[in-house]
Amino acid sequence: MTDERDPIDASLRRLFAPPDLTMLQARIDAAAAEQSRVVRPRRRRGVWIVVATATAAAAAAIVLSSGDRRPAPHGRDADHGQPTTIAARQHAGAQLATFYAHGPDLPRPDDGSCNSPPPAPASCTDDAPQPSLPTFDLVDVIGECGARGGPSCAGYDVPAARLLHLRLRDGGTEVLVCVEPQGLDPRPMLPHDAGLNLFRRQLGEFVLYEITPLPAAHVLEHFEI
Amino acid sequence: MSGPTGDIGEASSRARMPTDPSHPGSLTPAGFAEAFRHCSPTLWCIAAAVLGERTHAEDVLQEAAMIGLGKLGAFVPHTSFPAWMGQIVRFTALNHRRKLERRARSETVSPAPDVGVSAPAQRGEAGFDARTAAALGALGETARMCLLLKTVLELEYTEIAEALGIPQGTAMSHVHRARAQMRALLLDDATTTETP
Repeated sequence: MTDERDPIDASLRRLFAPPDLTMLQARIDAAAAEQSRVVRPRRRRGVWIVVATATAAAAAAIVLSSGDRRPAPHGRDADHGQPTTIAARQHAGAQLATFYAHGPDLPRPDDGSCNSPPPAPASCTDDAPQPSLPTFDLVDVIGECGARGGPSCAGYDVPAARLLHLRLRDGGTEVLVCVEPQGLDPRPMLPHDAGLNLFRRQLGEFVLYEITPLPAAHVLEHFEI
Repeated sequence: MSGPTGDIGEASSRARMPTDPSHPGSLTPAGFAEAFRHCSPTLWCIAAAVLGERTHAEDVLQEAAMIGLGKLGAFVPHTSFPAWMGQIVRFTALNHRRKLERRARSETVSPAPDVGVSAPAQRGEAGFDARTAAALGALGETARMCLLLKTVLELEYTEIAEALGIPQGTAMSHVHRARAQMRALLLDDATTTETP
């Protein structure tokens, strides 16, 4: 119960009375109607989607069941059996979602650390070609670690071997891109309530993940080796 | 979010969500829009509380709605829609606030504004409101959400608990402590403050 004579309550009500949300609701109704319209004609394809999903899940289960031979991602214990593997994937995904929500404080691209006193981070000495963006027309790099010639991720407590924090020039949305050697693929699973989407791409000997609040990946396809 | 699934309060109990007949309990786009309509004031307040201001709350709410609409499959049937959507709104608002803070840091080198209660630049009601907003900013995020949902929307504690995914007692305690803190900041120091 609130006191109508209380000056603080009255002030809060003046400051935070919800606005008329009719227009917003109309936009949501329209988006929902559009989504229904798009989804319905595909219903016959649903069976094939279910079959394809089941096949993919079965294939994934086979791959995951042989996970004992894979090195443990990021120094964690090796996976033993599917439940542990799933838990590790969920843990990796939760780390990424938390990392996204709280804002990665990665070094800026020009904050190189390879001139620091030895020993240099592995990322400074590894000559293997890495996935890279051939052009930065689409994004601004806010921060990055783990790139060849740049600061290692080890000092930034990030859940990836290499991480890019990017801002899309179109719309200003921030996204994270993780680059992992294929053998260390953590196959993260985001919490379903994170409000984020995760997209995966394999490129050469690497796997790339894009973590974004948008419904589609905008950066992954532009990486090249 | 696996929030509480018990009494969901007036806002959500009014919702009659159309569901997909082939998947009982699952949410259709139309069901989403209908459920959103019933709890949009609550969700707006959550966004405003996380942001600490109202200017961008509607933008955040729209962005969160589009995210929710794109992730209907993630809604667990027979659980609370306000709890699920409230979590999405909080994540979205948090991201938005971070973005605003980062932009503010890069655009100005002046010291961050004092979130405490300084002498009012304006007099009367407007001056008091400005100080109320500043005092609200000094509270924690969950306390702000609880206080606004209780004071502005006059929700029951069960509804606040559900929307935020916290125990009812915690919601109650946040409201009481937030009120005490606001009162201490705004009213108790009568010699240096001004009430309307």
